[in-house]
Order: sequence, then structure tokens, then C-alpha cells
Amino acid sequence: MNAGLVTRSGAGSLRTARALAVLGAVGVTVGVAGLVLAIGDDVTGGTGSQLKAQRFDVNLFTFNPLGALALTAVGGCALVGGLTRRAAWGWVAAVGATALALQVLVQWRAGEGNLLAASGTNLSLDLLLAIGCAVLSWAMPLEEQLAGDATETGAVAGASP
Amino acid sequence: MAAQVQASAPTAPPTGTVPAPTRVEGATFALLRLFVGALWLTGANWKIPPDFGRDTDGGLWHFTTFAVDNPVLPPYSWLVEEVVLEHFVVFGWFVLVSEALLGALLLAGLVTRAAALAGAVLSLTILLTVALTPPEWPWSYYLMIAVHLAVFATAAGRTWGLDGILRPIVADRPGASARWYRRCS
Repeated sequence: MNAGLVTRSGAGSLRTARALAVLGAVGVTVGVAGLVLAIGDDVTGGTGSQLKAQRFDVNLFTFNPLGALALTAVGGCALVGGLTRRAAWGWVAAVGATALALQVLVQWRAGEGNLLAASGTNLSLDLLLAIGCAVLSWAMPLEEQLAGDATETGAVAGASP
Repeated sequence: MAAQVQASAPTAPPTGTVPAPTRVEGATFALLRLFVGALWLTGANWKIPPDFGRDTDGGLWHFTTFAVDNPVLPPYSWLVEEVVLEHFVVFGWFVLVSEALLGALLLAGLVTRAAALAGAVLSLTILLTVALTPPEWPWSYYLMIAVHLAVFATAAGRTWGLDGILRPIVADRPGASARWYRRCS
């Protein structure tokens, strides 16, 4: 039996890939919203513009254009990884999100503002994307293998009289 | 006859597992988890390094001093005064990273039960810090603890969360880390 074919047929319903696409879509959506909000701001300005609903005490992410672009790029990688079912893209997104989180932490530690105008809420989203993309990229080949095994078992069972 | 009765009896879930929720239950648990995750995510917004408000008597510093000014539990007030405020920047980093991480894990639905327990403990410390300071409403902190315990009890990451995807994948994997993950999710 052609193992490649088995794997590909099983990959059609990969839940890891769908979840990676959802994470990516969240990143892209928030990033684009941030870009719209921060348009016209200083590209690397330390203050940034905040996504918020003040009346309801909901204070979300803060962006300058660079921070919004970086998040959009990370989310885009995850989205491509999810849609094409290629874990490598997910790993790229995970590394990118980790880099964003580390950059913010290191610059804060040094007592500076930060290049991306990020707040603790941005840090939380970066961690969500970093951990989520890494875990899903690790699990995708395993799920693919399980789906392949199941297809193979089903084919054998179907062939028996 | 006994065998017939045994065969027709409803199958009980194995000991130590949470029964699978119905669609409505699962969605409700997931919304609860997302709500609590969003709470921590937005809470991380105003913990601002490097001094976390110490130099201006604002932000996290201001709220932490409530534990000393309006003590809820005297030993806890002593701990805050003698240890936390003395090493406040370290404490501030701990709070910031914990809240950001809790928001991330609960929103993702990853190691949800462990994250929910950690959230309940963190909520308890907030309760002990600010509950008796006017105009705080202590019941909001009792509710925070209760919601985290509900997320823990319902293993809410298994619906619309990464735990629901990962658990079947690691179900038969041997080793301590897989065992640890199954317990935490």
C-alpha cells in the first residue's frame, strides 16, 4: 500500500491543521485591526494605539505599525500552515511569536519602552500563538500518522470477506 | 441473566475521567473558559515594567499595598509587607508573566485543568490582597475563584480547545510527560 496516499487521504480532516488555521486567523485579524488603528502613527513609536472598549473596561492590545505588521506576519504563517497542512509553517509562526514575546520582555527588562509598543496583553497573545503553534505543529504529523493508520486498518477490514 | 443485565447497563466512564459533555454543555464550558482567559489577558495590560508602579505609587504597587493597609488575613499581610514589597520588581514580573501565560493557556484550552487551578490560586491571592479595601466587592473575587474551579472540574479545554485535539493523539503514548499532560488537561 502507498503510505503517501494513505497519509494524504487522512490529512483531509486534520483537526490540528484546522486549529492552526484558526490561531493564524486570530493573529491576522488582530494584526490587521491593529494596523488600521495605528496607521499614521510613528512606525516604531513606544506609545502605540490601543484596541479597547473603554466603557466596558475592556483594554486589549496596543500597536504601532511595526508591531501590527509583525503580528500579521506571524498569524499569516500559521494560517498558511493550517490551510496547506504543513507543520513547517506552524513552526515558523511559533518561532516568530516567541521572538516577539522575547523582544518585548528583554526591552522591558532593560527599562526601555519597546520597539513594538506592546503591552502585557500583547505578550499574552504572543505566548498564545507561540505555544499554540508549536504544540499543533508538533502534533500534526502524529495526527496524520494516526489518520493514516486508521485508513489503513479500515481498508484492510473492508477487504476482508 | 446476570450477563444480560451487565450487557444492557449504561457504560460508566473509567475512574478518574470526566464524562463527555453534550454539545450545549461543551459549548457553555468552552465559553466559560474563553471568558476567564480573556479576564487574565486584559488583566496583564496594566502591569507595567520595569517598576510596576512602585516609583509613582500607582499600578500593581498601589493595589498590592492594600494587603497591608486593609488586611484580610494578618499572616498574609505580614508576608506582603516583609517579602513581597521588599522584592517588588521580582513579584511584578511574576504577576505579569503568570497572568499573560494564564490568559494564553486558558484561551488556547491547553493544559486547561492545571491553568484553571493556578488561576484559582492567583484569584485567592488577589482576594487576600484587596477584598477589604473600599469600594472593592469581595464577592467578585469569590466568583473568580468559583469560575476557575468550574473550568477545572469540567475540563473545559476539551471543547473548542487544544486539549480536545491533543488528548486523543497522546492517549496511548507512554512516558511521564504524556501522563503529566493527561492529568493537566
